[in-house]
Amino acid sequence: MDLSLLAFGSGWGDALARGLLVTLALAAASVVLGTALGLGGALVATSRRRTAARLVGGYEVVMRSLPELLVIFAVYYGFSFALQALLAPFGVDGFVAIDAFWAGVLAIGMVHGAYCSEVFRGAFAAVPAGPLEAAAALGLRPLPTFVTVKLPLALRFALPGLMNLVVVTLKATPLVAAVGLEDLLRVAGDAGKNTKHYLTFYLAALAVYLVLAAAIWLVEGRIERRASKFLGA
Amino acid sequence: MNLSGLIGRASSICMIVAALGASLPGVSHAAAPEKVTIATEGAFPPFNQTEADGSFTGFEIDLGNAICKHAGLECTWVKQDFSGMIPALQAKKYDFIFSYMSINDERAKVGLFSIPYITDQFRFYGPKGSAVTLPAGLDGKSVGVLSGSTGERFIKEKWGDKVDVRGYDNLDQVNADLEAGRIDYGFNAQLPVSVFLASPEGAGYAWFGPSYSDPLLGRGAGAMFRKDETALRDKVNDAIRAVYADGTFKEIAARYFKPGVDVSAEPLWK
Amino acid sequence: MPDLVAGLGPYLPLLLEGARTTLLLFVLTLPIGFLIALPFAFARNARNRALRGLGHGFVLFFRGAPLLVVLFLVYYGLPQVPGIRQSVLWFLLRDPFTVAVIALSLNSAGFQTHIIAGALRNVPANEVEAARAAGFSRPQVFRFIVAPHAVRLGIRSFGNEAVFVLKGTAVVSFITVRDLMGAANQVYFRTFELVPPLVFAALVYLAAVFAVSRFVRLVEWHATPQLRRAR
Repeated sequence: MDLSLLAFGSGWGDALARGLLVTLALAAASVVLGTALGLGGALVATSRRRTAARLVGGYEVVMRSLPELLVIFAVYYGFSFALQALLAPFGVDGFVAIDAFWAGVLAIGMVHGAYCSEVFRGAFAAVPAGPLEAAAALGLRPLPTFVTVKLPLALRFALPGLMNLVVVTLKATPLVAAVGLEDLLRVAGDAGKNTKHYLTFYLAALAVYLVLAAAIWLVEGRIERRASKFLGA
Repeated sequence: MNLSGLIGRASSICMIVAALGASLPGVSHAAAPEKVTIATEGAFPPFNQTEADGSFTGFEIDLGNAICKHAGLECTWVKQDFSGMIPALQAKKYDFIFSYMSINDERAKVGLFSIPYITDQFRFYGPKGSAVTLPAGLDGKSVGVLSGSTGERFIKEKWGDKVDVRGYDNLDQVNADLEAGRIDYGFNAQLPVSVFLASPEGAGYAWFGPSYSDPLLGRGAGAMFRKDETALRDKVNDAIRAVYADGTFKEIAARYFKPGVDVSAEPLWK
Repeated sequence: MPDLVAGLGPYLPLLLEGARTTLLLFVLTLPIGFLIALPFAFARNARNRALRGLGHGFVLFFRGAPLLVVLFLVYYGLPQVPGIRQSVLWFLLRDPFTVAVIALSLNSAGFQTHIIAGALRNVPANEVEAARAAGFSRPQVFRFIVAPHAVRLGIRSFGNEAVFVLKGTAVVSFITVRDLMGAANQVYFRTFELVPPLVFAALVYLAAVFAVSRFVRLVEWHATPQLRRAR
């Protein structure tokens, strides 16, 4: 195994670092989008609007059942054609292309959102009645009660699950390379093709993914300990 | 049509599209654009490969740049896996494909081809000493091909019931499995394979049987465009003829292929 | 639906073959993963520190490594290990389908270890003590107290893992195994019609997930007699 291949400057270090940035940006954007979708979904699913709650439930089942690769293809190719068809009547027939990065964010974010929605629903259900009754007794209106009491408590219950989903989503990011995104694994593959030292580059990429996952679990542990201390639980 | 209304409408659409994360570099254009993007696989040496700084090198990259210069086009290369190249062309990810796309009837139905800029023939290769009589010796053997290539189509059509055809994403994977003994033969265009056969890893391997030319395999490789891009296609055609005429083609070919290797596609269109 | 099938026309056999491969991978991976996971789950809960570390490391590795990387390393990496092609193992590693089963099973074993170890740990200690006091032998305690309780605790997570395994099979086309996803892609790239093959694939995946959730409910119903009576 020739480690000089991984060097910055003369080796593939710079290219791999660029790939890592793409991976991190993709994971971060997907997590932000997915968490927002999940929170919204959970609110709708626990609301009294029956039809809307059913729709959210259906969305969750579908998104959790389909392989990420299928969702990515559907978004990447499907969206371009849909957008073109949509814009054609307006006289726009130039290049309307959703690029691989944003297609990936949309696809992985939607899947992430379906899992988040489930976690948030569980967390809302786990919030004890006591604090909510206290807030009501103090005359707090529903919205402030939700923002200052229910949501912070639910977040505390949701956090371990959410952090775990971040790792799941990080692991899904290499699939976006199938539509041409230059993420870490894709760059490792290119480096392998160019140098024929596939194993070196794939093992290096693997090490990076493992370190990232370990870092996320470490943060998860810290936050959890701090949260339970804070809550006196 | 009211011009300011059109601009207003177009710009609001631009904003929607931008919000969706889509890119909309320009509103419609009747003539061929000055700036074009070209798709390459970036993993098919000596025709195209990706360097550590993200740039592309290879015969097709040099030739493509020379063609762009002649045609007065400002060209940017983008990378796309081979198997998804035509769908992405139709989805307008780029203006044309310049990535060893063999010209055949099936593909010509969904797009527009330039005249061929290079020719190559397909052939079987495998471990030395495992000589077979083709095609009878192929019974029950496994053959590695590139997914979505004309070679894959050809073998499946001809011997699909006898041969276990395995589709790979790139030639390295075919060669790796050949070395590992997972497949018995590879079937591919000769020039990229000859790079492998000339390398130390390829020392134990050799060509088998004849070189195949068949309508299914295509008539040389050409640039591929969307159906309605006739103007751009014609520009590129003229430029291909020009780089053949002024010796640029020969000069670039000499950089990548051994003397005596004839890749000229001129007989196909002259 | 008839329109969809008609639209796929000559490509239907290809897709059905892909669906068969996907389902076969799925039904092989889950139990093989379970068999690999069992010893690691016991190691994970063992008193011995080294054993515990081994179980923990196994879980962390597969929960952190992208499946695609595991697949590539097993398929293209292992043949480069000196001597492996002369060993009996090569008989297994030679065939792409078997490699896919091995890689998917290992990956799933990491997650199943996590689930099984967690479920076993959370079986209430007092029930075990009570059974011991009542004169149950150790194997009897496991058979009648620990195992049923662990099944109750773990079955939901196990169902989720089953869905993950099913979704995970979609990457095997990267090592030349033509599964449902790979077949759908091939049909798209040949016909340039996006919707029919993707919808066909999506419906098969959804049907499989539906079957999994039915199975989980069935097991739950059998494993929790007390809830049954309450209804």
